[in-house]
Amino acid sequence: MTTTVVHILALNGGNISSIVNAFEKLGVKCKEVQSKSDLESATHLIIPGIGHYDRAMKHLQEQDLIATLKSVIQDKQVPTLGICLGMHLLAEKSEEGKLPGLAVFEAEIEELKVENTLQYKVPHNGWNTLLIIQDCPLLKNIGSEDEFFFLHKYAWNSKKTSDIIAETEYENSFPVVIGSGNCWGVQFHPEKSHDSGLRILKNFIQL
Amino acid sequence: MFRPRLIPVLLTSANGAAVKTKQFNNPLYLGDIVNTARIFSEFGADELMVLDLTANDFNTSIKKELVQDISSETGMPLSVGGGINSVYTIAELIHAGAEKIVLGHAAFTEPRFVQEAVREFGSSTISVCIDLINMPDGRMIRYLNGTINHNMPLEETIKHFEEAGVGEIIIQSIDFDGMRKGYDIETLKIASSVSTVPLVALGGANSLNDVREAHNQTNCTAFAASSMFVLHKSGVLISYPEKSQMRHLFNG
Repeated sequence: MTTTVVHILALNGGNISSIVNAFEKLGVKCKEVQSKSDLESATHLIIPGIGHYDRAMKHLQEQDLIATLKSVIQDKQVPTLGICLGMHLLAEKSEEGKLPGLAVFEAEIEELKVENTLQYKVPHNGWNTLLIIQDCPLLKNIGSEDEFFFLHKYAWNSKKTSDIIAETEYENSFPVVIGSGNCWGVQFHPEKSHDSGLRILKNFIQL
Repeated sequence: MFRPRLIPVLLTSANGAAVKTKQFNNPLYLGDIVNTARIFSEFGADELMVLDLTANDFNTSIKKELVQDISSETGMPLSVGGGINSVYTIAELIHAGAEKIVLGHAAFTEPRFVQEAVREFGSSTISVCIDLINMPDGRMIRYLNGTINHNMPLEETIKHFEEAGVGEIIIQSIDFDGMRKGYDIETLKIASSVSTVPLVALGGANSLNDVREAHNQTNCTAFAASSMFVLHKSGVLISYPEKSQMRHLFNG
């Protein structure tokens, strides 16, 4: 048992119960961020993801959380994990929406384009493995056989290759684990990837 | 390496019981659905699809409490459906723990609903289930538990839903349901070549050989089944292949 409390940034339409359940399996309690002071007191922050880019950014704007969020991530270096859409929000912008992202990373989110539409359907939906490019504490005890659940139509396009931790292959390769400092993003859903996913979340709490 | 999904489908009736049908009739009682879902999670299932058969009869939709109960006991993605016809319901079900929402008759009777749902929740969250039956004079799409005909050819229907922005299409062959004689390969070949979004095969699978056949002969990227995972001969037995079997099935 640990006394770590993970803060989850609810994004108005996001699915946080799966994340809460996953952490519960690890014996970790979660708290939903409702205010700036919640954000400021976070020791571990999850930005979850399901839904639409603009809706999420608009919610953050309306709740006046953007500046505090960036400060918590970049100045305070609070361990932060963006999941799927949550990862996309960390970029500068996305083709999915019109609003700017948090710009924590130099990257843009682009629609997945495939040549072979017979074999490769979009969204990328299914279980896939990782091509690990560099070691990092988030991927401790994770190998090339670990499978993760993916469900997305848009993908990370990095302008800074040192941020790329791991890629996956789906016709082409694209980044699916990114990180810098204490801020990380995963394209897949660790809360829905059975044991492999739980291991990622466990690594995250230990940051 | 990407591999297709293997998805157990659990059908539920109003009282939370898991049931199994044959050609959409004669529901056979399987057991408590939350318990059954948990077993699939323990087996490491790729995904679970839960469809409430009776929702339409009672003018309701699959219960969020049920989705919550199942979600809290499982570690894999959850797709839910049954009478869903409003964005409010979708929001509740996602909040309760569903990754994907399966739309049935509402997708056919309310043309703008699908677009609205996609706009609110994103393409990836919205699936449409196309039920169809093979008749002597051709294929007929039906909705509302197979009671109403939809007079548009399959290819056009698929294109229509793709244009509306759905992230996934499930093809359920009514005449193959529960028959355990293999998937509706001819229909799936056509559907999966027309569709640019993931296509899920459902109806008729009896064994992993049937899955392999459909994988080799069609471009479906997900194979759903009920009988195969919940029945053994005519008795109830929950099963799911090991990871090594699955890798061999799709890559071997």
